[in-house]
Amino acid sequence: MSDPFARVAIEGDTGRGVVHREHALALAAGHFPGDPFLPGAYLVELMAALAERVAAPARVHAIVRCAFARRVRPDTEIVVTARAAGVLVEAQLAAGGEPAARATLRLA
Amino acid sequence: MSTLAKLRPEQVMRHQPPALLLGTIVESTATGLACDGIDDGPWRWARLLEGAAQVAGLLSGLQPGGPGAAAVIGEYRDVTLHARRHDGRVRFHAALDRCILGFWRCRVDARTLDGRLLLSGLVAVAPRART
Repeated sequence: MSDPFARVAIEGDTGRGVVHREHALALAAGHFPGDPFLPGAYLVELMAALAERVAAPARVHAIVRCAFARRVRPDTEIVVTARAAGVLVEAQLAAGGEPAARATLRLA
Repeated sequence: MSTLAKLRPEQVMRHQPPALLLGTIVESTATGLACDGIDDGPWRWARLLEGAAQVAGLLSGLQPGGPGAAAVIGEYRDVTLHARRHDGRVRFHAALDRCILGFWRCRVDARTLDGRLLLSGLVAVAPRART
């Protein structure tokens, strides 16, 4: 996956990333024609990408839980935040300023 | 093998290429489904997870009283990435675990054709997403 973020800020054990709109459009291609939104798996991938920036060089090994609250349209601003705590990372994803997904990720 | 095995995923799913990740249904029972992946990869872990979600959605959608083609993913739980990436063919499996309040939870995995585990976990399929 190419770098999904247009901007990333890391401070200590927390991070915030704004997703490239072109990247979001590519992830939503074919999902679905006339009603595009990003697949949940790719929202997890975006949260994991930021988690791995925050916790480098650790990598995400497991998704403890990820819940989705609403559809994420590719033409909205998508912002990911993450906070590392030991082997876990708590990540959130917002679309158009509204909470859309929340995940707990386990690092290896 | 049931009549489900005669279906092609694209006949009943809203996904279109490149989002459609399921090829042929290779096994179906009342509570389980196995589908081959649509191509030889590369399969990064998130693409494997999306394929596993699609087979869970297809299985749930075909259940009596299931969410149909409007199904969306509500939650992932206890998903382990046994491989970060795979190049080659894959097979996705979904088995119904339980249904609560309209959410259909399935145990899913993705494997190589020789059975090596690439990804496993639980997927909850929701009837529809908030817009």
